[in-house]
Amino acid sequence: MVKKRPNILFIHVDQLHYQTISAYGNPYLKTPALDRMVSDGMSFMEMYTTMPQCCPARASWYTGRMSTETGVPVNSCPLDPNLPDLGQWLRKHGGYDCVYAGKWHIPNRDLSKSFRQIFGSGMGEHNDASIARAAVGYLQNHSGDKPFFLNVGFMNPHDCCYTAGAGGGCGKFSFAKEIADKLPPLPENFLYNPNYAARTRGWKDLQWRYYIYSYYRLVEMADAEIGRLYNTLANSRFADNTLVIFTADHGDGLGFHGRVSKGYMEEQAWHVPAILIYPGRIAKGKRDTEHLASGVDIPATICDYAKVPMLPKMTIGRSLRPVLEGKSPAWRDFVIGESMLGVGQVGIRDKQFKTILYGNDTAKIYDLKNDPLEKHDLAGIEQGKAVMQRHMGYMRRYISSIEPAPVPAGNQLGIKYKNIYEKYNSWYKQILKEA
Amino acid sequence: MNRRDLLRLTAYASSLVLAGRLPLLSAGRQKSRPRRQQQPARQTSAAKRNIFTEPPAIEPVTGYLGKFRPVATGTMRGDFAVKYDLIRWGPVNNKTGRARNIVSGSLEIVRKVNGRDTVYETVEHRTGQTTSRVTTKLNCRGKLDAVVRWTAVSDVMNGRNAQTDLKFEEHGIVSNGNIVRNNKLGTIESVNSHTLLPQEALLSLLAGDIVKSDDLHFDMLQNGLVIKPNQTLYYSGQIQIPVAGRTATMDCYAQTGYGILPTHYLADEHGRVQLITQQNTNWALKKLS
Repeated sequence: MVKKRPNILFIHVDQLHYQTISAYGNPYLKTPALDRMVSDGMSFMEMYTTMPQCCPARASWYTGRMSTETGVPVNSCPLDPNLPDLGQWLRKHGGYDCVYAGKWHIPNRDLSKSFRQIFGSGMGEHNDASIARAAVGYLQNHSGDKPFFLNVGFMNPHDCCYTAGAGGGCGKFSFAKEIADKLPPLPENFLYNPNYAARTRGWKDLQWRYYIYSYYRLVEMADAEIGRLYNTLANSRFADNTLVIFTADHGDGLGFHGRVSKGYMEEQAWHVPAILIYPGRIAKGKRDTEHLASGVDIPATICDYAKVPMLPKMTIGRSLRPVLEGKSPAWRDFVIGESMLGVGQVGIRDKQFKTILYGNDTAKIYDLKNDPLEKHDLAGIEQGKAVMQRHMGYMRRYISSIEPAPVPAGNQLGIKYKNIYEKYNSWYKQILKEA
Repeated sequence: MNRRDLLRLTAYASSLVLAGRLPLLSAGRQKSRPRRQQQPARQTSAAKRNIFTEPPAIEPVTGYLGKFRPVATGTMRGDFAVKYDLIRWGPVNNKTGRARNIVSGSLEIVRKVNGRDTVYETVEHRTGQTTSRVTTKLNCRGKLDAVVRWTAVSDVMNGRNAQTDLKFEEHGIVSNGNIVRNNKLGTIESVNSHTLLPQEALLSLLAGDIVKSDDLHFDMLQNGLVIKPNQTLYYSGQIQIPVAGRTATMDCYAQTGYGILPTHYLADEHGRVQLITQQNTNWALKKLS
């Protein structure tokens, strides 16, 4: 029986904007490896991370629970020690050889106890090539009957946060003038607000464009290593019996709305790419725009293909397998993501509209079908009111479905983090009460 | 570089663009830019927020330059052996105005001219949470040292020992623009768009004048294991940089292309490539023989 389980290769990158795969039409970079993966498998064009920050998004991938359920609502908060992770789960229930290379970043979970760790983490430019080489080394030497669950976590394009300047400055940004003819234009929805991020204060158009240019090169840097890994697998004896999953923990501002980085619910940070490949079982080259997908669907899909029980208490996650294999399952009407940074934000997305609720009782509403770049806020106008009413109903359904992690007892985490748990617990109770 | 200089040079660059003297994106060899005036490095003020303080080529290594002594003997033409230290950049929150740089690995390259072939033997170590090692042997040919065949072995280190179950070995051959790579798992075939040069070959090219007079367009073989097509390397003028106890004048070459951040090669008056800067991974010449 064990022999029939597929191998699983889960490749994830850090901070990849959803529009930065050249096969999807971006002319300012080339991603031949990801393009090949797009043509070999199915892309979920409407995939959203559970929380657009590293630790919460990753905790959701590996436990199957939303970021307000895992104990990791923001970076640095500790994962609930009672939640099993995919490494433990597939080893125990599927007899998998669970292997990990690269970035993990889930606090309070010792990676080496859940996986065999074959390579550590570090900045992308320094480490990603070594991660890819360790992974292909593992593949080259893998033998025996055990299926593998190989996880490869590349850091890039996250190096956009480390511009390597003297004293924390902007690194080689002054090189922009020398390659001005190569710099991409600002995005159509660029609208700079100096309150967004201290690091971008004082940037002129040229610096913004250099940021975008260098971000694209970092995506290509990751692409080259993904190609190293994927092309090796695709030309190997494992190709026909390996499910390959590619996605990102969150996006990057990339100048959209005049922003960089992540942690908020606009598309550039919340929306992520996702590609799944399984020769002979998943259609080649298909791009699904019908199904709203969530980061917690990744572990559900892995458990489904691995023929192991679902992780316990998967409140929201659903296996993408029926969709991948051409069936027409009843599917969710909406997808939700959360960010408990600042005043707190929740993104509610249905097939056409998106609402961003803020913890200070404000909201933004966008018609993503007609305004995909989120330039026209419908909050407060007639069209927006109907959307808001519907989305608040979705929000109440969501809150009733999940099991929010409680506020930790005592002050072990410090008041800063304790306030974060209190934030969503009291906010969500208030939303239910108002109903 | 301060804002005033930036504006001046932006205007200068704009005039070059209007005159059609900046490189186009299309392939082919083009005349390189006219040499720019020397750009002195400015001292960083702790009180001033640093956006455009240094020449871009040295921004990632400002914390290292104060103790860097350029190698003063030897040549990167013909047969030579070099060792570079890997200088990693790390985020810093202090007010020193200098990057936090630490040595995190090494790169050793031996070049031997052997009949019509030039052979490069390279060993690269990178330290960090885990240490990796790549050993390559590249057989190259022609004026540019285009690679014709190579072997690369990658290891994950456990202390001084390589972990045998993570070793990866691959052999590559280039013939008429077709690249065939073989490893134990299978064969990967691809086509190169330009001449395939190993990154190691850039050292001897920069020791000559070939790139000074013409922009170089090539596909790059990195570590014998990853191919990065559509690279451009060009002469970017002279800069003065602060090094241990003095100011050094360097020829600055810039490389841009697929999958790399702008990379600068700083060569002294004898063509010795003393520094290679990228972003958080940079190289400083330690030995040349």
